[in-house]
Amino acid sequence: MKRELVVWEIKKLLFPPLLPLILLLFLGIDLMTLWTGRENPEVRRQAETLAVIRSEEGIRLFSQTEKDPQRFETLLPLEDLYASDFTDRDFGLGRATSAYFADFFQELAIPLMIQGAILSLLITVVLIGTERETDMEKMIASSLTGRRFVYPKLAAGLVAVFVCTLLLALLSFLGLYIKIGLPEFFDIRMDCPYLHHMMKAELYPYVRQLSFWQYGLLLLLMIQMLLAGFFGLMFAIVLQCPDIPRGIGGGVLLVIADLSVSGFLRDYYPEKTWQGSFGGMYLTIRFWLTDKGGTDVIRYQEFLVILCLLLLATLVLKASLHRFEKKEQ
Amino acid sequence: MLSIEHVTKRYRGFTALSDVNLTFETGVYGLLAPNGAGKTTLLKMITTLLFPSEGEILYNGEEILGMGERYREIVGYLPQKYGYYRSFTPRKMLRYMAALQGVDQREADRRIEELLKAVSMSEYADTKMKKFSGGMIQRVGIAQALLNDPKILVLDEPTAGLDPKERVRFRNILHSLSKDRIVLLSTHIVSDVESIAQKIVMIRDHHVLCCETPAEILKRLEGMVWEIPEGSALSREHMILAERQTEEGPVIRAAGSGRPENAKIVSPSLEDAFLYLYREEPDENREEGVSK
Repeated sequence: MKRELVVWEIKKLLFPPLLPLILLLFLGIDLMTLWTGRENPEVRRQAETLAVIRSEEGIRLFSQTEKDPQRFETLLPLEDLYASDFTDRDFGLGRATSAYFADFFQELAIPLMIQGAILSLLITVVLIGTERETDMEKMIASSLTGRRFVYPKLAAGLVAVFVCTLLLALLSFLGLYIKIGLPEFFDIRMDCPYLHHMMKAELYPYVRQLSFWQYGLLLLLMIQMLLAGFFGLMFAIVLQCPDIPRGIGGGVLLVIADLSVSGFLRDYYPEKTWQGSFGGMYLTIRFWLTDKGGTDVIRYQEFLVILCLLLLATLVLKASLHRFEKKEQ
Repeated sequence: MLSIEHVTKRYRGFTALSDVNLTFETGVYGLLAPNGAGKTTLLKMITTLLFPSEGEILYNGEEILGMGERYREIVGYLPQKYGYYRSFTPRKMLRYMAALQGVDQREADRRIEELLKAVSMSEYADTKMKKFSGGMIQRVGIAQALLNDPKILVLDEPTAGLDPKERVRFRNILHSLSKDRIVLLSTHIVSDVESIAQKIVMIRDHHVLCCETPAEILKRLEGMVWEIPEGSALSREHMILAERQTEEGPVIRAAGSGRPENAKIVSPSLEDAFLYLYREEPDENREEGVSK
């Protein structure tokens, strides 16, 4: 596959500027939602608790109870902060940290998934539809590149979905950061004897820099992988449809069917959250990489499920491309 | 040499072409047939867009589908409906097509200049194509088909939308190109091919009716074309080809064996042959007298 053709496809996606305009629109919606959204109660609670621990009163109390930290915990309102018997299996996080992550990233992840899915379908439609609607497919299929002209389109589409999602994620994160900043306890200092004591015991009741970035980047990677699979699936469907309206219809129907079945399974078996499809993964996004839903069968199971979905999408896409290469024009 | 051997094409029970046998060597070949006769189907099979249901197409003895890229790189194709990106300029469009044809970028730029000049589009090289007339777009399409300097040039109804001046220019371009390549030109306009085609292929009822030189086709109607004054009697064996105005008044041009009353024999034209060979079955109810 020639890189020159991939560049051509990316250029065609950018002009006429429908895609950049939609990207800007999504970004505007995201920032507006974040700006007008509710304050994260977990952030407030943790900040208040931390302020108590680090206050003169907290330090004095800890020095008095240094040999018995559990007594210290009973003297201060720390029940929401930390419970050593409840740690997340994926990250070894305390309860507060786990809840904070879920709430913080959920605000970013849900719109990112919806918008990424819409962009995936749109990019597919533009990539395949332009030639189909202008009757160029036959002419291009008879060129040296032949029916394999769809491969540069696929590569360009994957790049576009990746870049658009990354841009949306980074700019939304920046928006959220500007709005609430990183919480006070985010970059914790060891100037508090109680916290020093907890960390020595390798217990992390608070949001840590490392966990925060690990969690954020892994979540972004998972969303990117899921969207790449979704894009592949949409590409496979639209490629097989004789015209674009039917391609869009097919893609949308599949999404609705998947969400309906996944939603039904979730409501019918709430104790066993369904994650075996794209829709199932989307509906359980708030449980990813946490034990909040109590659904983890194995560690990092969401990551493994996404890998399986990606493999499935690759197989479907491969079959679709193979069929297209044998198709009469 | 391109040879089509016992090729049949069927679509779900409908036979578009049946047992076609043709051989093409250097020169212009005109596919002259009415709309729906199967010209486009044949050309699409030659460009590998369709696959024969039976038989095979060989280039220098090798099956074209098996040749893949090696075959497609020597084919230039202008489809019946030339598609283009409305926001592209001819230069940009041709650069994109050159990339698809695997033409090196520097070589492509040189070739694009040459071709735009050849089709008289240099002046509009950087104008967006959405502003173009049908004829201008068709000229860009012709340039596109020639980008890779093809050994086999396939043109499906290329003169549609061209004005008479452009048609003449196009015929001249084709004539100069045909010296060292196979040019297959499908049309239902007789004048497109009569002066430049080395051979004319006619397809009727999904079979190849003939693949002959224009002179050989005309010979089929030698002594069979008549001009008679309007109102003269004409038998059922004669077919009316055309009506025209002369200095002596309106005359009817007809074809058929046996001299009609008051008829004057005339030399057949390729258009006469086209109309006669693609005639419908005689109308049983036709009036004996000929009138407007």
